[in-house]
Amino acid sequence: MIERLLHLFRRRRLERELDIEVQYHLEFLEAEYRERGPSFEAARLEARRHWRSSARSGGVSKSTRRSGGGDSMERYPVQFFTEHEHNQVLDRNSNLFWYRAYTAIADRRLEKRETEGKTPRRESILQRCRKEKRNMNSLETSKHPHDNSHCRYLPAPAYGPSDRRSGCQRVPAAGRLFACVTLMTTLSFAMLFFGSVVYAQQFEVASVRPSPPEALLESFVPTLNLAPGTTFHLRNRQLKELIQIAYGIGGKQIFGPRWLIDPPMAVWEIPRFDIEAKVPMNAKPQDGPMMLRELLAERFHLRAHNEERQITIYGIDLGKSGLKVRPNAGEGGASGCARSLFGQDGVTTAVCSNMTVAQLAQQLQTLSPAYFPEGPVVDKTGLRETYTFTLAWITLQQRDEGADGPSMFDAIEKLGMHLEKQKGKAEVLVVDNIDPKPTDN
Amino acid sequence: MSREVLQGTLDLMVLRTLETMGPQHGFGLAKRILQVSEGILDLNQGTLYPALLRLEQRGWIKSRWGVSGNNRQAKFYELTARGRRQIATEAESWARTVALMNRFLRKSEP
Repeated sequence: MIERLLHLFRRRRLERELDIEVQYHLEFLEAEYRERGPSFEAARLEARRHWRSSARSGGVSKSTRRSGGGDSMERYPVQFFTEHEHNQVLDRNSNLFWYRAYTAIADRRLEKRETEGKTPRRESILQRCRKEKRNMNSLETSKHPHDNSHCRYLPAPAYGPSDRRSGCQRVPAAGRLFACVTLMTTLSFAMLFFGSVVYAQQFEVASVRPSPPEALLESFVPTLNLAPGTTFHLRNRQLKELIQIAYGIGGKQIFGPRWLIDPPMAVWEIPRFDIEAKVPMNAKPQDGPMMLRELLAERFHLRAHNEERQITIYGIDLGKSGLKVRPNAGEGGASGCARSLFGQDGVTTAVCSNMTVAQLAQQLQTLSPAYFPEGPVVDKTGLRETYTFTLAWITLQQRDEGADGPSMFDAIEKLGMHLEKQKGKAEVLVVDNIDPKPTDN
Repeated sequence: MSREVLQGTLDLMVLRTLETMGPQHGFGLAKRILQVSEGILDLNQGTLYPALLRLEQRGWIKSRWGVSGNNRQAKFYELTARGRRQIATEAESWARTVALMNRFLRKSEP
């Protein structure tokens, strides 16, 4: 009972804390969605969708009462919302979730306007607000959204008292000093942080060597979910395939010199490479592709840029009878496909561990490129889980020679998925510069 | 199975999760409950945070601000002694409810 009474008195603080907690939750969700694959923008939308459903459930609005967001919401003038959105905000002024959802939208629109140069930058808004402090009363009573309401764009005060009427900040001298110290400290930390990110995007030590000729039939292509402190092994892949792996694209998505794209020599004569590299302890799982790109840039002097083009793709979707493999439980460990060419009855097999379908789509193009002559393989299943499975197929050349056995399309069907050629937009990589041989280790 | 949280079960789920995992922030709790329920209970914030506030007001859990794994300020919740006793009480009550419902749902013997 005493605890409840105390909470009643601490209402404002509780609401502020709840606000921070929910913001934290949202950031986590965003990070998680981003890690799973969608774009940053899609992640924000998805996170907001969660918030809206929370808001509709009404759970928090009942228990948190007024959010205190009403004043802050004033910072976003009506022109940043559609009429419908604004009405929603007005109707639910006390609801923390609606407030946060719409301020997020307003933030985005404000940023867009700023980049388009349609509104003054935040710095100049701040300066103008300071100059117009004398006119605060007129600001307060102003109903017209265009009438000096730029003062309301200001973010919530980080220090010092604020004038709630206008949203403008009154900054004491001590506050300014404190702000300067804080800013400098933040900048120092930011420099340290970004320094470590750059460091994390490179392998600690790496060796790139030509593959031995006797290794032609065996290869291993790992996925680039690299655990910190481990060693990244890649065996027996062509330079073009290394680029495919680093950029997560198919063979038909690379444009460059002919010796790279379609080497005029027998398959066994095409140079292949083994890579062994140490992943730094501070690397994040998503750094893998960047580290391989850096390595290619350093050792092969690779320079490239992206373009979007309409091309043929091979889409993987769920089969009619549903998925026939079960998702892995837990994290599972290293992921990748170990391919063994021409085994029993001439069948080639690939044992793939801890792979998502998106990773499988990417790897199919290096496991059996002849089956996908016209474009990349693209995951359309939307499945995020990892799977362990074995693919068994005969090469296209064997089929052309009359051999009997499963095609790569059959191998995918066996997993309960379906591969189909389609037209679609995809990003392509244009290689501007690359050397055929790596620099010395 | 319905994805709605059955009335009264969320408190026990949160308390039990804190007992198993030790201090956790809200997001960690939501993730764990989602994992244990094998994807059935995806708690939204509108359900979880009021429940945490309620449990704290009842003195079954307490909270403190700390730093999470990704160096963000987060509020960590942990079980109190009263919370532990409450788990025992709630578990017993839940077992009784289950037994009672089973009696109603059991088909009559031939």
